[in-house]
Amino acid sequence: MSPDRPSSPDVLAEPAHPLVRLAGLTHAHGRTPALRGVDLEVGAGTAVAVTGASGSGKSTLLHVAAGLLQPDAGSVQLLGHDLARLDDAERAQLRRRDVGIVLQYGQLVPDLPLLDGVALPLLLDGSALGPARDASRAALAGVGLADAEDAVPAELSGGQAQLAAVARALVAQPHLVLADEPVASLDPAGAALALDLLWGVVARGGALVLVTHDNVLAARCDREVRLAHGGVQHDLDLR
Amino acid sequence: MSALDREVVRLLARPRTAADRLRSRATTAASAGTGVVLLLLAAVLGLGDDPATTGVEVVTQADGSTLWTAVTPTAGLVPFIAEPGLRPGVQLGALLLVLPFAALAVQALRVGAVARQQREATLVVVGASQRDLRRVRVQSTAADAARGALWAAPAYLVAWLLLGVALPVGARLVPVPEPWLALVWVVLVGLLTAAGAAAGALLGRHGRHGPAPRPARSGRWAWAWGAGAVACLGLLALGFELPWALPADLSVFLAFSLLLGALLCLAVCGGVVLARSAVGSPTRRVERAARSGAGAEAVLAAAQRRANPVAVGASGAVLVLVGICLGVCSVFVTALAATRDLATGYAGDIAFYGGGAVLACGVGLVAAAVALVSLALALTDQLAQARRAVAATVAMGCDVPRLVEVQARALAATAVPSAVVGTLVGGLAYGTLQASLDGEWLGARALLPMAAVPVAAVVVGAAVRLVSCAVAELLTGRVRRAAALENLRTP
Repeated sequence: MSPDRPSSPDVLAEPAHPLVRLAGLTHAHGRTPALRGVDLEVGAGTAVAVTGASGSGKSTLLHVAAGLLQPDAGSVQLLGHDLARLDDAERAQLRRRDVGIVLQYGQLVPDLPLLDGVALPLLLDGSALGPARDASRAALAGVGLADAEDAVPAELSGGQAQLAAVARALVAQPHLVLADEPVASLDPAGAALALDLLWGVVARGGALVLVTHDNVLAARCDREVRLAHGGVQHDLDLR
Repeated sequence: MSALDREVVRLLARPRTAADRLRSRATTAASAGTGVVLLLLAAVLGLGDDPATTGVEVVTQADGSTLWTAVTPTAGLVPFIAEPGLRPGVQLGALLLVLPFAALAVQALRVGAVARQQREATLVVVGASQRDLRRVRVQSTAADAARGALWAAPAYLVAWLLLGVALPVGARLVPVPEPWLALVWVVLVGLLTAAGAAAGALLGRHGRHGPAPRPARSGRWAWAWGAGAVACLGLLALGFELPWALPADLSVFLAFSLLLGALLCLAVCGGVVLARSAVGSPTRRVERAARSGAGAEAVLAAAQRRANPVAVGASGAVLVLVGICLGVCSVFVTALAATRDLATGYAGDIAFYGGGAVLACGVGLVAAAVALVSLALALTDQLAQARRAVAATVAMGCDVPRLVEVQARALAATAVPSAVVGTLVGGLAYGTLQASLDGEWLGARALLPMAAVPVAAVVVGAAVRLVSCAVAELLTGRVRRAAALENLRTP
């Protein structure tokens, strides 16, 4: 879907090399600790579920892994790149080319037609409007929103907005998807469609990190990492 | 690193929401207003001494001194502009008139700040770098500023028709637009566009926290003391006639520089004090409001001011200056009336000086209107941002008229003290200066003008309160939209 994409990072050529490597991650929101020394590695072709009670640090972990938040201590490596060594522009490039992010809510640019909103990762990467819109159209069709390309987010239902966010996360064919409750507001059919698309990334040799409260969804993953009070409570291999 | 396509930048910078459009229009208006004032300043600076342009001939006498003689004026400008010796006052006024438009621009750029931050956060998630975001902001603000600058020339022509051609000879306020003014306009378009671009880039300096309203830091209090001290020093220097001890060419320049500096410092001082007072402890505010029996409206109004310390400070600073102008005019006019006898041929004097005072008051009122619009812009923007909370307040039983009263209180709580304090400071300072120059402290010439100061302060306070209520009434539609109960289901 993505026009003129750069070549894949070397890490994909070495399956043993983790796409995500978090070491000793510590982060606090003000004076409230959210993560306390979390270690996590996610290899290529793997889906990992991050579970835990509310406030256990799941969403914070995802934001730090995506480079949206800077950890107070510890290191984040994405696709072989140490985020601390990258400047803002390089981190942004990594996100738009190789990482798809699905957040819980408020993720679509308000008042931007869906066609352009979903095309944003490509447009921000320098793609011309025409090819980017073509890719966006295909991605929207993939989530069943072909008829909604002119709609703005306010005109969508919560579920449709979530599907559009999934389409946007996948439009640049990323190697890694970080998703925070990606199907929480979807009906069963929509959820199945979204999950199939997300698992498509894993099937292509990429990786999926999924924050969820849903035990059934977690059981579908290759691993379950359970957080409690900002630390890893257990890391189960489910294969 | 891929550069963002120009078309994409334009796509992302295009105003889409109501807040975006309001921000764009207000920025354009601020830029146009600044452009007109600067064109006027340039036109006055470029008048020179040509009698054909000014309506005044400069005659050099035998002893070397100069004498300005009125000739049949072709331009028919008002004497304050026509006579070269009086022009610095008009130039000072024009320079000060840039301030309210600057305050409007500052406020305009903050419209929809929270929504913009959220949009930028979303763009970061999908891979926008800070540089990309800055490019989008720069494109947006530079385009608005350029549009305003382009409007400045037509607006100047309209001003010339209304305040020049349409007025009788000898009372015209706007000079004829000479061909060279078009060049100044071209330069201004470039400068204002660059200023807009710089403003867009500076918005990015807020970094991760964005340009959202932030509580004033304690360090700003020291700023207020410093600005106040500098203002006092400037006024003292003027009071002791220090500038006049210098050669004539320098003394006028130094005196007006000191006056401009002192006024700006006073404005900064007033603005910081107001911003600081707006962000005082919310708990103490609630306690104070409860003690005074003012009720929920006062508490909500205090909360609105607290959310907008920058708007409160900027608008308050302009209103302090307006108050100073009105205070000085009140003393000046009273002194004029007390010392001139209309029946003995001084009517021309009264018309001359009184006309100047009326002109200064007119400029002050324009500045006050712009400042109040700027503050109203901040309040309505905050309402739009907090529409869910506003709707929830309505759901709890606070109806729209009470919310409009909250807006009036929030406006008045900033505008009235600023204008009143400015009037008192300006009037008392000018009265004292006049008395010291005259060497008369107890006669009618000194006491009557001083007595006029508190009267002027009361009148100004009441007028500003009324205007605040009127502006709040104008906001009723926006308040109603923010209070709509369907906002409860919007994210």
